[in-house]
Amino acid sequence: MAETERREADGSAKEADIGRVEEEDSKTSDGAGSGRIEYVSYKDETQLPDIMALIDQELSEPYSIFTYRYFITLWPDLCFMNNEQIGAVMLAFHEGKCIGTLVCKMGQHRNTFRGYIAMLVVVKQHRGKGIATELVTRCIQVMRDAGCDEVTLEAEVTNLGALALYGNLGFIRAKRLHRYYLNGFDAYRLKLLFPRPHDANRMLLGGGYSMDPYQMHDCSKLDHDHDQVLFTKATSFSIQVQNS
Amino acid sequence: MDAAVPAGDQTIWLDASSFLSSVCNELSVGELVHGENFRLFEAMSALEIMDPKMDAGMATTGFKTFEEAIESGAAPIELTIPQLVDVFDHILACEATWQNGHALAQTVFSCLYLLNVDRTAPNALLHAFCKTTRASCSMIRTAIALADIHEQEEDFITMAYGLPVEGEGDSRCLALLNTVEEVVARQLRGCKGGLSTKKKSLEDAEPLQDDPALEEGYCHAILCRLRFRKALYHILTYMDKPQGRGLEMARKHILVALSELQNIRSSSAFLSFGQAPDSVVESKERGSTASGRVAIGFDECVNRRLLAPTPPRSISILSWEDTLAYFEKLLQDLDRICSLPMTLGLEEILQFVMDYQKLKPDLFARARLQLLLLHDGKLLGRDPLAIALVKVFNVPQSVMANDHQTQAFTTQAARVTKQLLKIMCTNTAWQRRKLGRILQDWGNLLQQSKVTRDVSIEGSQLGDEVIQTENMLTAWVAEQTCWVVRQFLMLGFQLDLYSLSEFCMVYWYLDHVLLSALHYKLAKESQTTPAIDSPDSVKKKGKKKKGSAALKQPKTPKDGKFMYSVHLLQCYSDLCKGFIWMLTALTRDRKLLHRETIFNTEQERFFQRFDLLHKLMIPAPMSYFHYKDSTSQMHISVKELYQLSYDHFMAVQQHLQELGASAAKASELSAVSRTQLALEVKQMEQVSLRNRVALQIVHQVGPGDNLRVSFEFSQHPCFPVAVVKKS
Repeated sequence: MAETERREADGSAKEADIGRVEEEDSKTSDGAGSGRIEYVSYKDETQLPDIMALIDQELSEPYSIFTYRYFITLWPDLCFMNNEQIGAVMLAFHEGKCIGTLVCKMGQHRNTFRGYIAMLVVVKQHRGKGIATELVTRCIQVMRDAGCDEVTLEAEVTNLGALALYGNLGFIRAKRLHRYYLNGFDAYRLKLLFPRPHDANRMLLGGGYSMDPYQMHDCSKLDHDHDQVLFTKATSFSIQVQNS
Repeated sequence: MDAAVPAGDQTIWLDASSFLSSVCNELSVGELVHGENFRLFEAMSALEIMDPKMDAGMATTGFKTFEEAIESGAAPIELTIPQLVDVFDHILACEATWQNGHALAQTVFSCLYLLNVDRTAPNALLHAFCKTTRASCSMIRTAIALADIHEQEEDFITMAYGLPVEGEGDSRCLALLNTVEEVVARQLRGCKGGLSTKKKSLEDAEPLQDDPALEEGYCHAILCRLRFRKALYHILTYMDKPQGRGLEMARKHILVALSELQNIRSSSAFLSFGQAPDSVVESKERGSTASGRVAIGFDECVNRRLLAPTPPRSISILSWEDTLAYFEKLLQDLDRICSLPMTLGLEEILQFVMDYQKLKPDLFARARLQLLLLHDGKLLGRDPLAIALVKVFNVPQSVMANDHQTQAFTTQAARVTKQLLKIMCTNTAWQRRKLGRILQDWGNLLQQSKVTRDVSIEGSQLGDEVIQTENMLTAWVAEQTCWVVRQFLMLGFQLDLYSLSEFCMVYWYLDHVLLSALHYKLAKESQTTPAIDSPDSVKKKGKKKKGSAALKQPKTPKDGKFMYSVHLLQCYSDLCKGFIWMLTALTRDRKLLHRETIFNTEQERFFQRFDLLHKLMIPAPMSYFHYKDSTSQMHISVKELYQLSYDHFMAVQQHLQELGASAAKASELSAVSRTQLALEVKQMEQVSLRNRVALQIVHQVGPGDNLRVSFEFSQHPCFPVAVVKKS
């Protein structure tokens, strides 16, 4: 168990500080003033130097060429998109210049089919325009449509911009990883669970333990009841209004 | 190359360059040859050699080897006294940095003197200090490795990578230290003797340095550092004795070390005197010596080829102030371990560890605690855990001797409890993940306790006693499981895992867990009524309850023991309820706004949060719909909800008084737990009070007012205070 987690931990990446990205509405800022942002999926090797330069410049963790190759379409078992539109690497262009990129993958993880966002970078001068949100949203949509159960990633505890961005998209901070990054900072493992309408029972109560009616009412079997408190307590009104 | 690995009888060396380049030409751009087992982990672990970002050996500044450094005179054996003090100080800073999880090679063994201690022999002071340092580091490293509560790499690196961590004759370091200490002490006495005896003292001992006016100050500075070193060594040795036999002596030396640390601290003024003012200011912030100067004889570059085969971690040696603070806290934390009464029962020990962790002790202190608690795999080094558990279970001897299921259960329970104790000593982030993982073990244990009953009732003549045992065991597992879940949920607040929009559901679930814990605690303590009713009686009970309006008050155990934990659970539960209704009301009142998320809903987040708890039988799994059902209460107005919340925060006040009284009487608790309880009572009082004030404000204003409410964990780590602001 621990080993698997280590592997997962080792195989992870870091979010760049994406600043005030969550404040912006991507749709309105998209065409505003400074030119249009164009989102494209990874096409070929010629884009790789751009991506590597961007990530090298903005992220603290060092990545080997193998890591990039891992995520890029070269290995069929790892390339999740046969779909030409969005690949495992997405790029944002502004006036022909690559200003943002997202690297991700999809795969089986224990019993779930899991999407994983490995790297996300938007260059400093283009932050706050919703580009990161747009990249992530597009990526998650693809993952959802491809049948992922959940999406995970790691982000530095101090990277409030990234945490807010993912929080707004429905991610929870599932775990904390002590001194995860080489710079000594902790990380959160963030997780987003997709709804599973076809499996409503699982949503209600969880996987392993099936409840029968007797256990459903287990709470009243104990000497406590969540609801009844209300009716006994709400009868008296005694908040003392302070004189202002 | 070919000379290093000679060709054998069947093999020869061939130049494969042309073959490789022709193969490479076959590959088109972007293609890669790789083995099947080369996956993400391998890709991430692969290092690009010669890239300084990944290849720790590629840093090109500084000396390449130890020999080169020594030849260039980077570590002279002849040192002036001010230089020597700087070396001592920087070594301490390196030690503190190392214990905070950095590589030995980049910290303690960046000291060129420590890399070859024999070299320092001509300088008795330096030699004694270095030997003792090396011996101490070795003991610390061994203790941490034995305790095994650290995350390799993240917390601590136990690998030495060929560094000389152990030296021959280090066990005699104390004799060396005593000798030099004696010399310096005599010299100091000479200085103090004043002018009349000055001549005499000069005959007795060589002055440490040339300026007689500074002699006394330097004697002091050296002496307190030597004595601190010595006390630290004693503490390590005494704490290593099994079954807490050395704890009393260790405490004495902790006192000495603390007072010497104070002397070291006050020597800073003398040592930094005469430094250029602005450089002193700067060095106070960044420097790692009392004087503010950079110590000579340190160079981490000589070890770069000894680093782990991973990208280099960024590292900065702790500042002098932080170093002193680190050791001060470490000593206090060690003292708390030494004060642990060796008579504590299992429950109080668990309480102690939980309370101890709230003081955020560093790794070495936690490692020492774990070694004390589970020395040789026995509780406090004495009883095997199974024996300790039998005492807790209070199972009749006849049952224990005859019922195999009970015996098997006890063995399993001992294994899981031991695991729990160990987990409780790890860093809190890891602890929570590990607690999540062992929850299932506790769930299985509960099932095992039931299996016992089914089988043994038929086969045994012990009848009632077996059933009673059964109930005891079940109640115990149930209570322990609730305890683990409670810790799991509450740690989430300390680790800042919950966002504001999740607070309500977490408090709601936590409340459920607390009440379950309370129920089983009382069931266990009373030891009479069956803990688990049959499904039939449950149904009846449930129906009866639905009609009644009164909140059932839990029965209280007759003797005062454990009352504090009952009261504590009640306080927590009241606070949870206060927050549930406060958050519900604020949300409905639009003073708290929760964003809609596009990819999922609160229901998925509820499921994610409590997924692990849903796999348990006790505390009974609670669904999202149950949560929504019991918190929506649309027929009750917002104002009434505020009132309800207010009443619960008032009820806390009541229970806090009882808690204060019972905690003061709880003689079975450790001093650490009693102090922590007293502190927590104060914290909860503040939480209760301040939230009532906030409730009064929001209760007064109308729905149109632009008030925004946020929450701050300023008083208690798990229960916040509402802050009301005009927006």
